[in-house]
Amino acid sequence: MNSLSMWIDKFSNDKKRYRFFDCNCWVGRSDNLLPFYFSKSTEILEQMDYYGIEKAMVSHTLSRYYHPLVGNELLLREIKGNDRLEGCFILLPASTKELNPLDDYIKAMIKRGVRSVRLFPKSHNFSLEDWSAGALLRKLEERKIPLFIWGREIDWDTLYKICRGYSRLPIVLEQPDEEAYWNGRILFSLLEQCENLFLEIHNCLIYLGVDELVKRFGADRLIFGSYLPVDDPNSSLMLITEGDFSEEDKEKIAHKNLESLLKGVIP
Amino acid sequence: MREKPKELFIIDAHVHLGYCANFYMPDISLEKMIAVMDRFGIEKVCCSHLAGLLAHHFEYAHEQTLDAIQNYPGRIFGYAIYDPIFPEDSLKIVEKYMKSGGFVGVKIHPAMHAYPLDGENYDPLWEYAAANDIPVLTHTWDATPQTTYPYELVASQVNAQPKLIHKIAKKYPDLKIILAHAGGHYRGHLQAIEMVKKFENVYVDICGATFSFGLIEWFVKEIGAHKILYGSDMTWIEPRVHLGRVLGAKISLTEKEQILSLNAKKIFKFS
Repeated sequence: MNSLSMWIDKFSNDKKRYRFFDCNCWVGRSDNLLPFYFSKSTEILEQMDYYGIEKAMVSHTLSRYYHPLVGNELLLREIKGNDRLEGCFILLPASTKELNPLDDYIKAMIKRGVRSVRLFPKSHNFSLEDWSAGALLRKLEERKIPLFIWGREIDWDTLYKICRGYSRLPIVLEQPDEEAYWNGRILFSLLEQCENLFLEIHNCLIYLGVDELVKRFGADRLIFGSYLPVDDPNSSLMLITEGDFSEEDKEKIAHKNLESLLKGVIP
Repeated sequence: MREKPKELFIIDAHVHLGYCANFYMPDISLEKMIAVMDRFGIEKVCCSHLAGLLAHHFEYAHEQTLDAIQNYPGRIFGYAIYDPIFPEDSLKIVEKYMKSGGFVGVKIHPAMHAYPLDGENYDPLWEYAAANDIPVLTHTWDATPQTTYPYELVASQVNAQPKLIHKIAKKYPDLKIILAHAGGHYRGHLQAIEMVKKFENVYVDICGATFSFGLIEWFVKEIGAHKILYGSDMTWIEPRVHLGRVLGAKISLTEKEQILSLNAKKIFKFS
């Protein structure tokens, strides 16, 4: 077997070996222009099989582009009966009472098997300051429900402020649709000062970046995501399978860190 | 865990040397680059120095590139950099270094140099490269990123749209032109595909800051694997990002071999 075949074989086997749990997966249509975008959970599962991704945490595009109330329900309908897919709701702050009452909504969410949330403060036009999202963030913190937030949806000072202000709340920064490799000087400071901040790695493209993050902050702060079906999972998968760090660290990033955050949720 | 193959066979057509002021690069040393190449089976890299692309310091950039070539002969190769803002001085430097051994092509960056790809200041380069059978790697990108709502115009990238290569590719049919990043985003990809389909002498590389699902398969279907080169964009981008896309793509073994090695061997006349 020549070297190329050996590399292909090795990559394919390593992908299955680390039991990847993908925290950044989407169902539903989006404004993605590429001709091969797909939107149904059955299609996601087919692709997960191909790429060797064992489980995925999924949000619905309708929750982001239309309304969380509708999208979150469609999400549960879409993933029903699939034990490889776990839902991630998108929430809104309490004051407009759109997810009213918020406390009941969150309790019901957990009861229905959803243990994580995303917020889109820019797209959904609200502030993450205490006067706007304080009640919501406190409820998430009380129950240690991991909050996933996109870099494009929050400015760095606000991210720092909410990490410090809600120090028991696990906050996972995701960086889709941006040239995230610019962000190192900021990210390193944030990770240094905010122990409850985690980083989803699909867009950690910077040369030697993931290896350096593990070296500086340990593997516990990094979480595997692919941003399927927008991005090619082979990129983020190989960042881990060929990472310059231990087997134990690879398993942490691939699935253990996310499992641990989700297990930490207080029902 | 399977053992890694020891043979080095990949040719990386798009690599940088040096710093970039606006972001943190963990380790840009040549020693580290060679170690990374060894880790991932990369035999040869073709590099352009960032001081010449970002900061118009093409004399320093070429000195540094030559130094890298001489330190790692057979592993590190160079692109001379042509700067359209200083066409006369820049061409002299390009001519000088192309004769010095280890330089295998010319790199241009119409976005960083803020000068249009089809502008007249590039004419001396096209004449020179065509006359001497020297491949030219040009940065290309879409001016309207697909994912940036509300689709703001990226001003500097207007100069680097793939469609601007049309008149040059037509005028110099034997000049090998590589459209770096294949246009960067979807609308740019469409332009790049159109140019490659239209002109035998136009190729693309696959590196960039986006790595959309299905892209490699789409390019292979549209333009054929013989027109696609592996590029990592190291030391900006981690080489695993684009290597994984090729290794795991739903294309044939032969097509992967063309992309990762054979096409670059042919274009840069590596033995």
